[in-house]
Amino acid sequence: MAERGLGNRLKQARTRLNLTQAELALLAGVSRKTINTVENGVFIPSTVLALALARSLKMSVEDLFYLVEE
Amino acid sequence: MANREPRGDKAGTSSSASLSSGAATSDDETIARLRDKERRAKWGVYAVALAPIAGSAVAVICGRGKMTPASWWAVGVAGSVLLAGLAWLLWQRPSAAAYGPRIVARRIDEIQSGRSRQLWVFPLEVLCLAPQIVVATQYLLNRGGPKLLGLPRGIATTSYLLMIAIGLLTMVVVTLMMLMGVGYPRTIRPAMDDELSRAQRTKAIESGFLTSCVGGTAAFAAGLIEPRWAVLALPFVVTGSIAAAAVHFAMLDRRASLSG
Repeated sequence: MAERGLGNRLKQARTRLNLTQAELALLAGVSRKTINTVENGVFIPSTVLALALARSLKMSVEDLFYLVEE
Repeated sequence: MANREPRGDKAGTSSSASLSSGAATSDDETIARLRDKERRAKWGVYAVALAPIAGSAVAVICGRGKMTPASWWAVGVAGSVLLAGLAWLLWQRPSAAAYGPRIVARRIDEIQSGRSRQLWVFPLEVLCLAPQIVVATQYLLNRGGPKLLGLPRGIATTSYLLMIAIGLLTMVVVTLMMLMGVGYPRTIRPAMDDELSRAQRTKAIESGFLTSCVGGTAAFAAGLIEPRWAVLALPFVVTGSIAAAAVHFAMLDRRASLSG
């Protein structure tokens, strides 16, 4: 069975809104480290966090995150 | 990676610009006061961290494994410094109310980095104390054999038991409390137990569990050769497992800060 990973467009969405990691963290109510690790694919966020990030960036979760077949 | 300070309170969308700017200034002042208190409190941390190591090292070196008057003086002075450090820490500790939600949101990275620094230091301290715990355990084994209740009563036995209790239990409890995010002011606790912290903690505890399995097996094997070796190895197994979990957590946290 193919392994599935999680890709994201967090950095593009954040820079489009001219936000720093710290500013997005403040909007989403998480630490800058959380934003950093999600952007870099080190940490897979929960559904709750994914929804919070999508809401902060005024996007849908599907636009922000996508499945990567490995 | 962009990592500049946030400009004011972005969460308050309904506030006017002047109100928001006023709140930001007030927050800046509160943060400056908190940092000042935390800087002063560091002397307490140094006293609590270094006094037990210095005191018991001097006591063991002066007494060459036995409690001499010089050893008692060393233990007494170290104990006083430790208590003074604890009192200073409590005196300088900001109240939970000082950490409002906006302050915690702005300082979350700083607060979490402080925890990581402590998680580097305390396991090292535990490892420094481990040889002294072994000296105390050896004394108790030599005096009472394998039976703790059969030990001769007296101040020497009590002091060695205290040395083990303080060295092992206190440090293990302190490190676990930091790792689990308890013992911090109530308003900070959610920041210490966010989603990333929980994921890092799970991985760190896996490392601690593996270390305890390997160490426990090694201690058991050593005990089959010579029973007292198992008892002497156990402080290292316990402290090593805690240290592995704490250091792994601190490493993961550092990596999360750097990878950008």
